[in-house]
Amino acid sequence: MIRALGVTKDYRMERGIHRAIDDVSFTMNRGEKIAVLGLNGAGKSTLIRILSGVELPTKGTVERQMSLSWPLGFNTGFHPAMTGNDAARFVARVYGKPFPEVRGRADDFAELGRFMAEPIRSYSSGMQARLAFGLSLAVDFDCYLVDEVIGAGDQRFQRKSREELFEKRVNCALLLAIHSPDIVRSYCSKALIVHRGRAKIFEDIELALEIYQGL
Amino acid sequence: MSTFLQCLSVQFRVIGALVMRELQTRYGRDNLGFLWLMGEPLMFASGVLVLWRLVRGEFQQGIPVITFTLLGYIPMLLFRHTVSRVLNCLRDSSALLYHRPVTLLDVIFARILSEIAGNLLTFAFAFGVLFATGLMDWPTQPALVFLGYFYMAWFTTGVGLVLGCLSDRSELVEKFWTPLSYLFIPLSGAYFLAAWANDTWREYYLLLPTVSAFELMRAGFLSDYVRSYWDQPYIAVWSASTTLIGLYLFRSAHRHFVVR
Repeated sequence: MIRALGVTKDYRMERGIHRAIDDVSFTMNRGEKIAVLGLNGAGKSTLIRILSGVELPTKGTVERQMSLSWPLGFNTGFHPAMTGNDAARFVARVYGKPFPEVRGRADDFAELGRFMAEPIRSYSSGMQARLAFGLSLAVDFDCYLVDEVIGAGDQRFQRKSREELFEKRVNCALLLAIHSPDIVRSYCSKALIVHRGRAKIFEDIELALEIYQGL
Repeated sequence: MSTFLQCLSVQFRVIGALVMRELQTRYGRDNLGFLWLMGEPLMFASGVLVLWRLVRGEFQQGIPVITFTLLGYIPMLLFRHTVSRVLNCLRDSSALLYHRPVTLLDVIFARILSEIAGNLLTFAFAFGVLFATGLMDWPTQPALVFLGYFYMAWFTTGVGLVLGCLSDRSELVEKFWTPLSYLFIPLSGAYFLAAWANDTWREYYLLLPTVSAFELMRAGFLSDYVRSYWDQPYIAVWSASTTLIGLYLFRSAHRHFVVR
């Protein structure tokens, strides 16, 4: 279970303070797949970063009773000078997994082949996303936080990530920021609508999509 | 207790992973790889050693020039290079903070540790070569050399923590650091023996925190040539208080830190 309680996040701006997240509370249970819907800049990524623990909330708390992935988005979570193998070694060390297993499973998913020995800065953004995704799958988290990245990949990446997240990992929880109504309808049981820093859980997916389309 | 030990083992694992990442990305795997950790300071040091030896001869005021220069130059590099590398280190490593086990403190410790390790290797290698070629003698009191180096490393760690954290909050830190790091050269105690000052000035000279560290190292090597002066509690208090202030700053750092 993950529980956000009154989570608020302020950022200092050139002028004044920007409240990116405003008093958000919700609970996510084991195995639940929740879609995060919201316009660009509504606070989806900030919320995901705070849930994952990368940033701390200004006010409020996040309780985590399952292991969470790092936010899987356009930022890979690796230094551009690291190679794919370095990143695998880093993940293996930090999360306490054997390196050959992490490397093997990541590359099975990412299909980078020879590029595993090249620095990440030489990767296309699709390759970076595949690497980060593959590495996170190799760690076996209880819950995956996915920030839009699935929708951005090519069809092969989309198909493989759907298989991994929705079919092979039925018991994994998933928080998925996404704009595609089809994926939400087929795989998600709830939706979290984020709008201007506020957020609310909807159990009725159709209602949530209707609201989202009206934003 | 077991949870504390678990935390400790995670900490070591994470810092280990960060140090490895540091070595891999900074020095790459080509040619000498991480041995370049020593390359840069060694090239600097050999230039300085050769020049001073040529300009000043074998002895200066009765002290062997090569020993004196090496003992001043390499520990001074430790402080200047480490602090320079620590400025903006948090921002540069921001991507790695995506992994929750990795904390800001781990990132900065990893960087400080890899700098100290590189400097220590350089010191050992340079001494090895100079000793083998008969240009330096074996230290008369090795323990004092280690003690002096230990204080130098501790003080560097403390200042590194403080400035590393502050540099993330204000760009002024970086602007002031450049002139201060040059000012540090004459004020560090690296090239001026406390024995050269008269009694009144020596007291003031020893108020500069790192002078005692340099004097301790020199005492270990040069006790047959010159008297050294140091104040251990004084440099220990400096090192401990900068370290504590640094740790305190890091306590609140995460709350303000924006991962880019």
